Amino acid sequence: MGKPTNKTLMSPKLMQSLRSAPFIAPFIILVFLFYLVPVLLTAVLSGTGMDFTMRFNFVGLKNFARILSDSVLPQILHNTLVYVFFTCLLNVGFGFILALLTTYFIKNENIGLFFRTLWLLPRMTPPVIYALLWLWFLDPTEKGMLNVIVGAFGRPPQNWILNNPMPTVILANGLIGVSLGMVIFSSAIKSIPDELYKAAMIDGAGDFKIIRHIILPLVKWPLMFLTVWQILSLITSYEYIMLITDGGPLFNSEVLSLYSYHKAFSNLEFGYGAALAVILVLIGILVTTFMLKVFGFDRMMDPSRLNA
Amino acid sequence: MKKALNLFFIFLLVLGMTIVGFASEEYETVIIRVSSKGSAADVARGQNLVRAAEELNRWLAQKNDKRRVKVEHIHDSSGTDDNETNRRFFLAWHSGHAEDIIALPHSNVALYAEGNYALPLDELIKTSEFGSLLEGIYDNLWEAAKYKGRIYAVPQDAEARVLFYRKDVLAQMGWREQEIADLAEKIREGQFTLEDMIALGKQAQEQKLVDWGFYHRPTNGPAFTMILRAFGGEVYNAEADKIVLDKKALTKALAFFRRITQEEKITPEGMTIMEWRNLHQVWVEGDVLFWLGGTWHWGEYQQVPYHSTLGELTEDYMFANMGYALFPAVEQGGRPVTLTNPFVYMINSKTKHPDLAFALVALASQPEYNALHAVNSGHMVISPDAAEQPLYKENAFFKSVAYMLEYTMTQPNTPRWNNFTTALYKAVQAVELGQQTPEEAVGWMEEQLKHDLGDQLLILE
Repeated sequence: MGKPTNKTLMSPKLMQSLRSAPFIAPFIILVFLFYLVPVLLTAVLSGTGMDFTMRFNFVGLKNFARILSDSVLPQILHNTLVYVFFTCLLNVGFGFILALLTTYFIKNENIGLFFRTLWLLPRMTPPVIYALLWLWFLDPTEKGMLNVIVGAFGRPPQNWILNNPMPTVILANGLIGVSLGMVIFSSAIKSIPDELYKAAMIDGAGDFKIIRHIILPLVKWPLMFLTVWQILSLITSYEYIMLITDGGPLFNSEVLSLYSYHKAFSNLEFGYGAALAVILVLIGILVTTFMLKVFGFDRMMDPSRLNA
Repeated sequence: MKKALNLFFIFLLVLGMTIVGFASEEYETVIIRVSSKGSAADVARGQNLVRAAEELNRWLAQKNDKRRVKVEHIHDSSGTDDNETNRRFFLAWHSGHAEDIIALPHSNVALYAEGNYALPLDELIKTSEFGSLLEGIYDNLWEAAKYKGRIYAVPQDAEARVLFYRKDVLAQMGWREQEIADLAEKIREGQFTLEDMIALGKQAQEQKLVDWGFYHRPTNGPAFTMILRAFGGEVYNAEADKIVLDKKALTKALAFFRRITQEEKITPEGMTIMEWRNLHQVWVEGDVLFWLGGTWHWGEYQQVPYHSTLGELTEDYMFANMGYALFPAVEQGGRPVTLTNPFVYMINSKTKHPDLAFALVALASQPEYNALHAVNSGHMVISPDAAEQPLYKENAFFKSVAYMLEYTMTQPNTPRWNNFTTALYKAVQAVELGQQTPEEAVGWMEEQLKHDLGDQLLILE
């Protein structure tokens, strides 16, 4: 018997995998380096009592035991829930309304484009500038822009941020996030064939019925994708909160990701901050799994039935 | 002939350039990087080291040392808090990029010492030729530069927290000139108490002479510890090396913050989120009667244009309209207080040139340098010799605050101190906003500090 050739050793499936390796390898390496390694490092750090001395002194699960006795954590978890829910509602809901307005109601492509570009402006603004604009707008003195406006109606100046820290950060985050939803919904609405509208109109359907029975069912998948995407990114985002209220006053607008940052980088308790980040990762994994199951992500990935 | 002459000149030129090139190559330029922080008026903290480099280079030349020092200085006047500065330094230190010398408040010495970030200086002070330049520095300032008995820093300046008051407003309230002039002394003797201050602030507000009766700093800082100490609070037990939570005194101090904001309303309840610039503007324009600031603000108001019409204030204007005193005693006949948070120079333990960095710091600590910084920035000098400098000695402001040194105190040098001050600041914010009673805030602080410090906390019921 002669030597077996390579051909007989390798199954066609393996051959195919090997052939595709050069194409997928850069992506896998990137995911490994920038997604997996940081998570692993955070997990290792969370087992240490690393503080301002930056020494790796392993303390086991002590940091997680501390989390259980952290008296501000219930308030922070509550804030996180409120922040993620309402900001997501604003991002997705208002994004949908804007998309409707600029594509369904404004039929002129150029005018729609103009308004969509306007809403994209905050996205193009550096976050620090965007936050600064909010701070100026809501400045508590009589020179603050909103106070000038209410002053015109004879109302005394208000301390907007101090009295409404959570609504402020939700609005600031929500309005910047709206543009993503608007762009995705706009393209989804545009891809709906005109015949469907025409048929509905012949049947006597008004705008509300068209939105309810034609547009909404056909943008169901983008809607779900966007909801999952926004929830996940909101759980871990804190930059605008940090710039506008820094989690204050007290812990009134502190969310879990910002708390983790504060513990690690303000108090220099890197170990404890990492343990909080691990909790954040776990929450993220749980939420993702739950949502993919509930919404049936697999079905979303199926080919579109619209043009079939 | 002409061609030969040209060639000769070119030869001479090349020769000259080569000689100059060789000559400059003889020296090794050593870059010493320095960072400092404070208000814009405090820039001499680092600029004194830039000036000291000239003196050091002359000395190096005399000694035939081939090194020449060039100081690169960055001054941060953006109001960054110490936690942030420290984080930046620590991370840079671990990657070998931290600056060689850093000027910071002394309350950070313990952190830098415990983390091995700062170079211990005891040996250098004894052995360096420049060590003798530091001999005259006040003992209490050296204490502030030590951690566990070793010296990790060189004192750079000192200050006093003072209660500023508007003389012009008092005059409008019917105070006679002599009464206004005597106020600081009455506070010193414990005859004008904190209660009197609250009452007076309220009265000025009711007469619509000011918008607010009393302002304190908006961000975390030593002033809150000082007020706690004024109420008799203990904050540190040196023997056990533990931070102390004195619940009785804390409750009293927090009750004071609640009273001024929620009951008497002489201070805005959002005091802790006010912008610094806004605060200074309100004060220099005379819309608040009392402001718990510091001597350094005396320098700052003359250099930073906070006043919307006058811009930078002249010292004459300030003497005419602003007075200053210790923080009043809590009870009649009690002792008023002030607190100093001296700045210090620390040398990076990884610096490649510890001898040169130390020499720079020692040279910049000489009386003439120190007095110049003190006068420009409203700080107190570090040695009796500097106090004798004509510039400082003849300065009317410094003459008038010299007595405050008898009433001063410092914060403890312990690495976890920031945890305490952060919790205290949050508690002040909670009671001022009316979200917690003083008792609840003390309970919250206890919970937080037990959580953060564990057995490093001593609780006094």
